[in-house]
Amino acid sequence: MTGLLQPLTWLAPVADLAKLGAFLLFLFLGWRAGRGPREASWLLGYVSCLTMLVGVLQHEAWPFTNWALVHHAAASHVVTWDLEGEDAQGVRYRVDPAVLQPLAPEEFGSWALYNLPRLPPAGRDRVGRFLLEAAEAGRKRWQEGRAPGRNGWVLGPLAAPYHFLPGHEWKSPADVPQGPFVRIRFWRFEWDAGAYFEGDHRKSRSLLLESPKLRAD
Amino acid sequence: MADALAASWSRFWAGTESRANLSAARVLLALAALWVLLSRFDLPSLLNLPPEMWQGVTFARRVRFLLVLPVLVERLLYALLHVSLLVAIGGWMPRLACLASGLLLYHFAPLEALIRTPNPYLRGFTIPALGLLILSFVPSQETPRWPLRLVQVLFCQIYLFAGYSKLVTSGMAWATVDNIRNYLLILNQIFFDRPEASLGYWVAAHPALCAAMAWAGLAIEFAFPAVLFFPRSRWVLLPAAFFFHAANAVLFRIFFQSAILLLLFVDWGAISARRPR
Repeated sequence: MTGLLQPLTWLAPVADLAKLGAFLLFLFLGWRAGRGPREASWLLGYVSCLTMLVGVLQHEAWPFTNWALVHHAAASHVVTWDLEGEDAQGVRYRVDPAVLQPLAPEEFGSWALYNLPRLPPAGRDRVGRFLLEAAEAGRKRWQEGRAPGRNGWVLGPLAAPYHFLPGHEWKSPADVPQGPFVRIRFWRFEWDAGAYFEGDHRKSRSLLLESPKLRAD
Repeated sequence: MADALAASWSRFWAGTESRANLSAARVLLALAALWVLLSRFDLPSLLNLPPEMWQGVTFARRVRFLLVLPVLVERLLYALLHVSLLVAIGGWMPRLACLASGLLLYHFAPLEALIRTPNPYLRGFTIPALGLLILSFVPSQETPRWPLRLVQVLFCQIYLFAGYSKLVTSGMAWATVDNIRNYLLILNQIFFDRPEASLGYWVAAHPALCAAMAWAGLAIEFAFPAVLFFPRSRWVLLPAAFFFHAANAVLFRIFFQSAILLLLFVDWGAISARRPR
């Protein structure tokens, strides 16, 4: 259903406004629902029908949503990404994706894998600068003995993780340079999960973004 | 037939709910939202991402979530959301606090994913946003059953449609050993430096365990809505769902922020009535 509608790009803004309308109707019926059982029935009927429709068609109208989760049959082919920072001496380090917080790594990764190759040079530079600043801020936090990301600002290790649970790239002070990052790269990685499991750890990688090199001072 | 259906429909929603259960629902929904909120530093700062990262977000989409205000105003509203959730937990002006919290959650939740999708489900805010709004729809002095019932129905749909989406998208291929094994391998290889040391890898090496997990997962997802109709089934399905989420976190690295909302199905009124005074 969603696939059939995808070529109709003009429909997307209309659909967004219709979904806002569906939410506003929910609020209106809810506002009336407190008046009595009859009014409450309208709300219950509306929410029941709308959520069933969204679920059955698997087409979101958030906050009424389709709840699909790992629903595709998984192929053995893996595509993922990595951030790599470089210091003034040219030494390269993996960057902990937590430095991007509050941006979720899974959201950024999905966005970047698709969009980075399509950006014009000026746009790539702006995204590169953003990534470099985030990596550098994270490096400083890590050197000061704090977490590389900012989501633990109140709850520390009890902070709610994101939907996917990544490992920690940075485990010791040696995982980051003493001086600042001066360049950052975004790599796309691919491999075969089954072959990797059997011991063939070869991965192919391609560079999707390399920021301009900053002066270390 | 139509009369019987209408009577069943009325029976399902009608009646009164204990005040303890409604209060517990309010506290649980607000706590679940506040936990995630306090774990996301300055979500409005995402509006300052490079414009290239926002280029896929149309103006209509921003209007849909009312994300059209300056960042400073958004930060003030974000602070207000913290306050309104605390007020909802405390039970002061509960109707107003729930309404404000629900509306602000609707406004801010999409920020978590909007550069990629307008559908920020499974990030911890969906059920709290809807649930707090639903609780706000009823005057505080009344205790009808339907608001909590409706929140419970929405929560059950998480499982029902998670199972449905697998079958409608992938058919029975989803429940094969190869599929579960591939998910275990891929997610552990992506998220672990040493995937061979992960429990998921160990399970992936045992086809019978992969098959059992596939069928047990689907069984829990499709059986969970029974908690709405057969209260005794909660003794089995609530712990099973909790175990299911714990196993997903350990084996697949998939975390469910709203697991605490399983407690929406506990009869707090009955528990407090049994407690010696």
